[in-house]
Amino acid sequence: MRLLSVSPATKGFGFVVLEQQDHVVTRGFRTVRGEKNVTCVQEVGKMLKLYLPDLVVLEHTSASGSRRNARIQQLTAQLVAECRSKKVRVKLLSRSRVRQHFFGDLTGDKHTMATMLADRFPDDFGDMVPPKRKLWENEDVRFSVFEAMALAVTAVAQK
Amino acid sequence: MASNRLPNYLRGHRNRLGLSQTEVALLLGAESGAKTCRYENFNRIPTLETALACEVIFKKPVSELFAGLYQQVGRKVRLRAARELKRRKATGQEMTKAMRSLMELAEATDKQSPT
Repeated sequence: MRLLSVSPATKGFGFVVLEQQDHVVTRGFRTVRGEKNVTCVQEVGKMLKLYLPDLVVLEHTSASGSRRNARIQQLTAQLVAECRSKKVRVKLLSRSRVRQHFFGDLTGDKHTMATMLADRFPDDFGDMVPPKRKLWENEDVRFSVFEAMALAVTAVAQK
Repeated sequence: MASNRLPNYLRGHRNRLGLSQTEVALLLGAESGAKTCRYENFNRIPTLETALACEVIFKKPVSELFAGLYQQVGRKVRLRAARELKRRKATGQEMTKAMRSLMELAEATDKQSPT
């Protein structure tokens, strides 16, 4: 099985293509400008055509307790529609579900999760973990890639 | 959507080595990263020499790097072997070493290259 997971962010989206549960085909961050949602949907559409995933995994941004902004929630809905138009199965996972998979008790930050993924997939993520964020700094875009990987890993574990 | 193997897995292996498309192109003897990009986006099938160069660069066999293509080629070969075997049996040929080889090929399953 091949899955594509996407994690939207302010400047674009992180993505991972995972095959046979633990083989990372590709991962990265796509930066988008201008009409962000339109461009994101187009870019994901290209990935659907290129990688022919069996499943697309997205964050359930309108789940109860989600603090994602309106644009990201709208983008998620658009991505779901895009996948369905191309007859690709979609799985939505809430952030709390992902946190539960990694931390059990829902505590744990993005940096810790990124470190856990880097330890588990050293060849693909070993040197990608950003430094721990200081209060005044913006979030590193690489965390979106780790968020996408976390979604993928959680989706695989739930099968 | 189908879940056959992808035509190639060059991008993932390139990422693991921390190489850019331009760096891989240089190693392949090309002038720009555009060539690498074409292979990674499945727009071109490389020559045998380029495929072997990829094996050297990524230290993975060609059948693993180009797993989808290998799968496709394998199916065609097995089909041809089965047809040829059928033809020889229909003409009453005795079981020769060649026929045993054809039989093995025809009966082989769709081998998944390890990743």
